Amino acid sequence: MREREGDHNLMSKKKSKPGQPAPQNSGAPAAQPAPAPRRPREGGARVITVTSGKGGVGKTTVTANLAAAMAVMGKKVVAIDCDIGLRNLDIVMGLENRIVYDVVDIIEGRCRLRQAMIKDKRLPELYLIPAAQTRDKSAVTPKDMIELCDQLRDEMDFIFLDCPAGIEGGFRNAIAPADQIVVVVNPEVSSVRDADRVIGLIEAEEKGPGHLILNRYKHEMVERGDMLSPKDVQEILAIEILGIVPDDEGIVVSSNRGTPLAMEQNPTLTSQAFRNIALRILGEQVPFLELGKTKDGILGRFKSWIGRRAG
Amino acid sequence: MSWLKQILGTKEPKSASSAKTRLMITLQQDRGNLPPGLFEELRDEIIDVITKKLKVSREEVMVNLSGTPEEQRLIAEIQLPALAAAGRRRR
Repeated sequence: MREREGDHNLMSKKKSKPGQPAPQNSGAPAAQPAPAPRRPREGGARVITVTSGKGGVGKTTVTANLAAAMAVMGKKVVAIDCDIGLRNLDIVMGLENRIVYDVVDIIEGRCRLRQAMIKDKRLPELYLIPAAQTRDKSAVTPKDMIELCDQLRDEMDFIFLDCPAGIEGGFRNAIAPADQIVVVVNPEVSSVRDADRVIGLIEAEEKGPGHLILNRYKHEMVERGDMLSPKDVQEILAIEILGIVPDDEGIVVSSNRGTPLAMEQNPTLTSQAFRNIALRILGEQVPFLELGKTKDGILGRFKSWIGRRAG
Repeated sequence: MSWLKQILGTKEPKSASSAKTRLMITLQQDRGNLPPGLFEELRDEIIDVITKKLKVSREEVMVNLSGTPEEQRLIAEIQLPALAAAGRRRR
């Protein structure tokens, strides 16, 4: 497999990190997760595709919140809804009543790129390009998506692609321009199984390895032994976890309102989790949050395990 | 009744541990004997070669894995297009 500059980045970061012994007391700092690979291309945006295989695991929520978290930190971000015919990113972001043009209009030349970019008025530089609602998926090809992203690379810091569920044409379109791929997985059997398939496809396209976001994590269930732990999921799928997002009713509320949690003034555990993922994407070493009451519980042991593996 | 289970000791494994075991086995079968992604690569390249040499569409070339992990086969099946009448050589 050909080497990418980002691989060197990741390798050198791993070697230079000081080895941290697994802390036993809860007050000690937790081990650091591996940072995301790949520096942005010289003078250009980093394109990150959010995929999952299985539907309904939280791709759109993750895309909306990561885009918002990056924009809150001052980055120039555009989120593109790649689910032709099943438009959703707009309504989760609260921008559904501002759509004039969509991604297929740009590709077919009915509008200029800027005309289809909806500027979110709540943050300085956050844009959405919505999906087409009334077209079928053959309207877009992987080459179209690569060209679209190339047009945006100069002006933006990050381009997030919200991938449709499945592994067919929409998936191939969304991963074609990706510099980095994030796989959203829920800690349950069918999601993990589908994620494994997707990871295989990503590697076949030479876009691997992806990184996992474990969404809908329920700490009490994991402590009871009734839910796959982060360690379990990482062992089964054999790729690194970029972040863990708790199962939170606040997500439903935020979608109801059309205000992604990461944009809210009052930080919650969940919005902090998204912020931490954004920081890790930027290359910062951020320890996993304490998502449960007992610090020495499952999550504490996962962090120690990560520390031993990564250090 | 979980206190009772704790005293008596529960024999059945926790559901998460069953899930993990089941997944490890299932994914082994899903992936088959090829490393991740290799089946898709092989399939795409086989289809490329066949469609280059024969007048068939990509959808008409079937490439599948079949059988158990112990006796697994990669099978490519193509219905050959009939020779056009005008193209047949006079005998």
